[in-house]
Amino acid sequence: MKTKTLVGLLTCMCLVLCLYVTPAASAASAEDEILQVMKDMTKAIDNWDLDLQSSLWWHSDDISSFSPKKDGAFITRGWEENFKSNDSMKAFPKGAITWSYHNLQVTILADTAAIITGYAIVNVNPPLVKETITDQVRLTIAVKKIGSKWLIVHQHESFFPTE
Amino acid sequence: MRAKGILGLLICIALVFSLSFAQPASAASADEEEVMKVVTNFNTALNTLDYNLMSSLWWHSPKVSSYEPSTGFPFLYQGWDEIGAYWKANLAPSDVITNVQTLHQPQVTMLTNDVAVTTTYANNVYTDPKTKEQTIDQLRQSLVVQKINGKWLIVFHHCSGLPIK
Repeated sequence: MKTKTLVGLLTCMCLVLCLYVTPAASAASAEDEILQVMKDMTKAIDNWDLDLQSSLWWHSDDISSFSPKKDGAFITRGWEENFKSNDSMKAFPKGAITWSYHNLQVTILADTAAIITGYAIVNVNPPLVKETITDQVRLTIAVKKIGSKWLIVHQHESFFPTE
Repeated sequence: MRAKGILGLLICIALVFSLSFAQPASAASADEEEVMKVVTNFNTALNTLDYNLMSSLWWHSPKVSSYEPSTGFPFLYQGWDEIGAYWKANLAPSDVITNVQTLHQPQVTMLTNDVAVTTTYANNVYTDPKTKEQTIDQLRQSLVVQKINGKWLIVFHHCSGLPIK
């Protein structure tokens, strides 16, 4: 009985070890870590949490973003400019703009580089507008692992072409 | 004489040392140049309707994807089979060139030694072959390229018109 228990215990330990070292397991966790960036992004927008949003970006001059806003710059480069572009949003009431991400796909290109693609449904709600306006935005986000954290390096958002 | 010899030796060692430190920077800039060449070749392929050149710039893998800026196309093209078919249809040889695209402010950001993101602004002038009427589109383009087996290849493409609403 004791031998059986020992064998059972050893088998369990082997199984756990195998699961831990298999590439599939680590790939899945890397993908989960990367998708967490988007979950946190949703949380940051929903709660108007600019500190959380700030923590998702690499604070470097090398970052860039293409925003779908008509009044935005052609391209926003560097962390300071990117953060400043949120200034206009600070005045909006909570819930004025809501984002939900869909069909998010992660492609891991290297141990420390990945791309996220997908689309967002964006609602601009009263009192910003008379009636809710809904748009679809295509999304490409390049992320880089710096230290132990995946951070956004480039973001390209664009409205789904309609004409 | 002996002191001069030692001094010469020390200078040589210092030179070798500094060259070995300088190498990563020059390698990075060489990579950036190669990445930039992918961006300009992409544009050349568009302007000259050169499917073979376009095909040579992409990683032929199911992992690649592309967002095209025009209407009437899928939301997202995925895999080289889909993307290749799209380019084959859109870069069909013709005597009349209707689109001429010029690139502006191209920029490369290295994510790793083997992965880079490029951004650029493009002006596309379309000339109607019958009426000769011209329309101009302003485009934003993100290309993600990866060094695969020593060659920089496109793995992601996102092109969109400048927002008008």
